[in-house]
Amino acid sequence: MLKNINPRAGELCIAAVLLALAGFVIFEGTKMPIGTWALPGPGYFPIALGIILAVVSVALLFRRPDGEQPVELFHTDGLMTIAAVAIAALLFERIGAIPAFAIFLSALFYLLGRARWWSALAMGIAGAGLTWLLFVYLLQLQLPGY
Amino acid sequence: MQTVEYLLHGFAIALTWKNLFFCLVGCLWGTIVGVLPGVGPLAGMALLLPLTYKLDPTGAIIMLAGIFYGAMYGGSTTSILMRMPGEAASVITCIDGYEMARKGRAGPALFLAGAGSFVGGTLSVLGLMLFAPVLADAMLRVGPAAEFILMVFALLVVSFVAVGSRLKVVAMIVVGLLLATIGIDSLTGWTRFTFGALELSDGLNFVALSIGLFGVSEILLSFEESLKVKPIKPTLRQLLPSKEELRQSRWPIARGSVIGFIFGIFPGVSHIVSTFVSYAVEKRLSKHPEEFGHGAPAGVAGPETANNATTGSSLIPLLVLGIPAIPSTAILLSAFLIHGVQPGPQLITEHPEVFWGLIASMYIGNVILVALNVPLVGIFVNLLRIPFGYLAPIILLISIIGVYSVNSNILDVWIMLGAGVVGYLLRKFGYDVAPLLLALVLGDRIETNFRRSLTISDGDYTIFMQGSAARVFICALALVLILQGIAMAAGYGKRAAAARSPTKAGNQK
Repeated sequence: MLKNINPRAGELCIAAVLLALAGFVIFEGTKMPIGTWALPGPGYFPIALGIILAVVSVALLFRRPDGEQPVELFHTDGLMTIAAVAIAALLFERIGAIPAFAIFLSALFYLLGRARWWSALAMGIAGAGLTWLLFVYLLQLQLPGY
Repeated sequence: MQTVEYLLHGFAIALTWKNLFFCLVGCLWGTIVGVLPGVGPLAGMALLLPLTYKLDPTGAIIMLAGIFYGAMYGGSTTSILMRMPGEAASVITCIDGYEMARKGRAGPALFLAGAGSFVGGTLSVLGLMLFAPVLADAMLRVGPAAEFILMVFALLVVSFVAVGSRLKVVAMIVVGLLLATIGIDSLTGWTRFTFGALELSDGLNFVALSIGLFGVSEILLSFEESLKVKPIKPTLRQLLPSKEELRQSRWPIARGSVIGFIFGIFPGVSHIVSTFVSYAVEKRLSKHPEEFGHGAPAGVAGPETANNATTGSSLIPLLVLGIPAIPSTAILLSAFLIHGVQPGPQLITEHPEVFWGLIASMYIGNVILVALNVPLVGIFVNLLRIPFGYLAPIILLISIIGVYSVNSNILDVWIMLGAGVVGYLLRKFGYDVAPLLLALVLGDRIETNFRRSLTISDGDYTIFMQGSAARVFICALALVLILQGIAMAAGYGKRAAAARSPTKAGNQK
């Protein structure tokens, strides 16, 4: 978990990212046909929006922050959740959807629900089985491996 | 007379066993997501979206709409019993609803919220039924130039009513419009910002972005809040309000219906704003304003009626113009498109079974919701006993399945996760992500209509001022811009005065 983040620093970071995004969009937009003032091409809108975003980002850089209280970012449970979704996405097409879901559920029941490992594993496998029953068997959705 | 005939046809569709079942499932799930903090109507609808893929369009829309208005009912339960809003539109109900519950009047508070929701919801559907066909007929005569102005107007209204700094809202709108440019340009076929990824040719998956920005980010934020409030449990015998409470709530319910209906038409966060306006109006009109904040029945009945009255009218822009007024209706728009139905002025003539079936189902749904919410409130409150550590993995699992199933593409799951993290960071630093989502939905049509208008007029920009519809929209646009300017000037004025204030300076030391 990231503790005691200065809100000003956070807002400056977001404004800087938006400014970088604006610069990137304008740069990429110039590679497209811009057209004319009367008949705009595909690059016209991105460039116009990029310029507006750049102006807004600069204004955000010089703006006073909304709050002064330090901000805490990414609770440990939140970080574990992000990692679990990422691992599930990596495994999803490699080992098949249902085994990936069993691992995903078991891990999160153990880590977030603070269940005992065997209980988490049993609930994870049961949850994956129910997922197969509902989504693959009954609703006939196309999931990897099924 | 024709409307009555169409409505009867709608009831014939909505009252089939199949559609009644979908309506019941939608209302039940809507109540559950309304009760559970951290799962709003948007995430609730997005989660059930994959279940609708195999359904016919009418059944799918009936079910998803049931979640949308069902969540408004469920949201009040936790506000009253736990002082914890199940969803954003029930925030104001926490004040007097919880105070009533503390005084042993939890049952009457729930009853008044349920009754107000029923009246507001039903009158709102009546308004939708009467106004939508007339507006749709008028919209058929609107060209691309007027449509462009109308959409810019919608975005400006969003920026006007959205939460937080105007500058941040504008930044979110521009980012949303930029994200909408990803994919093949519909007028020239030029590929933009796809970087060779064929999966991005049709643009970003809206379902993945919306679940990420709202659902995943909400879960990440929920880990930081401890929800250890013990709910107050009412019994069925305690549900009925006294004659005095009914008398005090009668006019607030009537006024809440009108306020909610009017606000619901405007894009943005109308369902939230309408509750605050209703509360302010009731407090102002009350003979005993000092009772507000200490368990005034009008402080529950008015806002709860207003947030339900927005549900019908917020569907007018979607069904008539194809413009989602709030993020939840953007998910409905996705559902329409996935099922091959284009919402807009032609919806009523091209798909009457969907439109009138939906209208009729909303009347039925409101009856189902009263039956579900008032006597069965104890069951729904028990849902709050499920630890979040068990609930979050299940919600995420259904989200992954829902997002993947739209295009059978794993890239969409990564987009959902990325949007979740970005949405979490933005929300932590005071950015409202709803305008981004609405801009993303409208972006392509704004650009296409703008460029098409100029092609038609051979580059003459005065096309945007030609025709009565365009002039009306231009006037509305100018009015919003002036109001924006006044609001911003007032804001700067207040801040400048606060900065000059010696008291504040002293406090800062």
